[in-house]
Amino acid sequence: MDAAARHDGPPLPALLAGDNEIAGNSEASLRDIGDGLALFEIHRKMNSFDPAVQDMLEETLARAGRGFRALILANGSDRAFSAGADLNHFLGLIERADFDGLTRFIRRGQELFQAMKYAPVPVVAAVSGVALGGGCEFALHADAIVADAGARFGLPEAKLGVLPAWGGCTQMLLRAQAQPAVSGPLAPAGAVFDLILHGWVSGSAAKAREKGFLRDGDAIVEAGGDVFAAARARAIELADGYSPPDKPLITIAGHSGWLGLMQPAYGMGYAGRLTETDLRIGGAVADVLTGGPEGEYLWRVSEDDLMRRELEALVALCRTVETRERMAHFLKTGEPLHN
Amino acid sequence: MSEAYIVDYVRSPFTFAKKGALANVRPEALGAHVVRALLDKAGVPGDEIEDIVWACAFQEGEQGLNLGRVVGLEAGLPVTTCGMTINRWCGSALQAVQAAAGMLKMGAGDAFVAGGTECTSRVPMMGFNLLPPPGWTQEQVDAYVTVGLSAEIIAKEHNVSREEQDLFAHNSHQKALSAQRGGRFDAEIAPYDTGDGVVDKDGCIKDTSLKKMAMLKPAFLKGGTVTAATASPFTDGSAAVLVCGDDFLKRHDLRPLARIVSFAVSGCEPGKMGLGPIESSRKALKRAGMTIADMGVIEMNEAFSAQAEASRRALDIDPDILNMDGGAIALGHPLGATGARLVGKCATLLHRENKRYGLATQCMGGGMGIAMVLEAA
Repeated sequence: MDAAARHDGPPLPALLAGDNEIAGNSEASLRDIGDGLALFEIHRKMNSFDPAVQDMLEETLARAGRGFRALILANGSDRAFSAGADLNHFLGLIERADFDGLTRFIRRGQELFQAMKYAPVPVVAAVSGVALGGGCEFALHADAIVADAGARFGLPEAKLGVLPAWGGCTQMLLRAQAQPAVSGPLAPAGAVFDLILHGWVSGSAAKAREKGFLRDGDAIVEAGGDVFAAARARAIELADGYSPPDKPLITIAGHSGWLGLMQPAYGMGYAGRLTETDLRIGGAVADVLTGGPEGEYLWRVSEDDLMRRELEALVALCRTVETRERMAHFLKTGEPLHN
Repeated sequence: MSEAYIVDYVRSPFTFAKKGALANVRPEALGAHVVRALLDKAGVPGDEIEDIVWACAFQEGEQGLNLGRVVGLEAGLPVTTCGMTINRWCGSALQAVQAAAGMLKMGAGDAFVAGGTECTSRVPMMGFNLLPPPGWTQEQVDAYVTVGLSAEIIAKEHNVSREEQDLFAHNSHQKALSAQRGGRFDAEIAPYDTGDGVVDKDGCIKDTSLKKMAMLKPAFLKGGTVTAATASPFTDGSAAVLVCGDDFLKRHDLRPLARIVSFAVSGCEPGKMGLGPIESSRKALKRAGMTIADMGVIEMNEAFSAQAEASRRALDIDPDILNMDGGAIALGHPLGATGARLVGKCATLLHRENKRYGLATQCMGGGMGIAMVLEAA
């Protein structure tokens, strides 16, 4: 069988309609799609993450390497790969002041995405539509992304009063530090800081590649192409002889870097272009990206170290009125509140 | 002891960072171009140059490899001509002229190229990795780094109104425009061929109106008075002067533009860095045994209208002799190059205007001033 034929398989709609579910609940499914491949599918509004989706991802990852040799993340929607955390669930936790529940929800997301990144099988995200917030972070933890040319990536959490806390800050920093064009102890963090502080969302997959959401090994499928077929081929390619990535150490710039990142942000604040709330969020993002107040220049820290900061910063922000207002306003109107 | 003279002056066109015609030119290429043009113009052989005393404010990335040495090598000077790079932020190139003059006066050489380059398109202001001392407060960082705020503080404390700032900037553009149209930059600009065409004109000068300027929003402080139009723009550019001693002049039968009479630096509050020219000029004038009234030509950098006008008032400078062909608000301010432009321009103007003494002075980020008095030679 030649390579092209081996990569051929049933189209995604047929697979999603097929009698192939290995495990599933009301919100997500794990499917056996043949060739030793499995498909993780979210099937809810904007394919957002709630605890039930997390349950099924946990179940999926528990089976990795036993029931399948590669995993594809796809759902057949042209609108959304995933719009991230379910905001109703998220805001509900905040409004009930259930910060323990919020901490569990975020920590579990971090743990699952890390487990996915270091799973014994390769994971390929087939992204069409939006991959925003937690949905973007989901894709960032895959071994490879295959994106539709029109796919939109972004971490717009700041517009909702929070910061990316399912590893988004951490993974974007790692991506930036791997780019030779952005060198130095602070410059990679600076590029990521700007993206997150301003809640930048790409207009296309090509723009997302420019900003570091996509890496060299990630593919963009031109309009009209079959994203799923390309993701399937990539998964098969990665499956042979796969070993999970080594856990990286991340170089931080410490509090000096924090001051450096925040200086232009404060400048925008004085000029009236950023609010106190923006600066509070910016300060939290800068904290994560530079290793926090006790971080020292050129220390090397783990993903876990930075993600612990993401979590703590997110919960602290969620205790503020302004963050609750931003989130509630967005849920009500679909528009960001610039308070 | 030999005197130190400014023999000749050349600069590149100054163009907007990022969107300007020189945005794709590497710093050593622009610097080498200016050095070659200077030596050609002066008719001085490269192997007689002791040192390239170069200036650059953000010595990182492409500008981080001891730019002065790289510029000399790229300019085709013999390997025996040395090269260094000086940093005193905005005043770096004026300091480079002084460093050359200082070496010359102690007998450590008799011909130097002094100047500088800043390719702000390629290494942004504050560099790629801004890493202040971690013990500093945000206020200290602001005072040291956020120069737009210092202009606001000075505007307020020295009562320089929005209208006065706009007028100052408008005058700068009008003077520069008039000089450009009258060909008065032609002798100092060395046209640069980018491969996509020859750049022979400054790119930041605008025939704008006070009405348009009045519509701009404050750029640095909500409710403030300093706008993008009353701040010098981010700029790419390079400038150089030839600094020589008596024996060298005789040996090569050169006629200098000016003699360096005195020099001074001074410090002030970092958050009020724009007032730097006041004390440094006073010190330099005192060392020359002169007063501001003795000056026939003054080149003072225009980092912002607010600080330049406040310094002008404090020093009691006649507006008619200040920045006669426009200043940095119109021409642009490539940090590492500006000081050499001011010295070169001042020396040139002494001849054009038939004046005896001139002053070149600048404010510098971090709360510093620098000044040099010249005498027509």
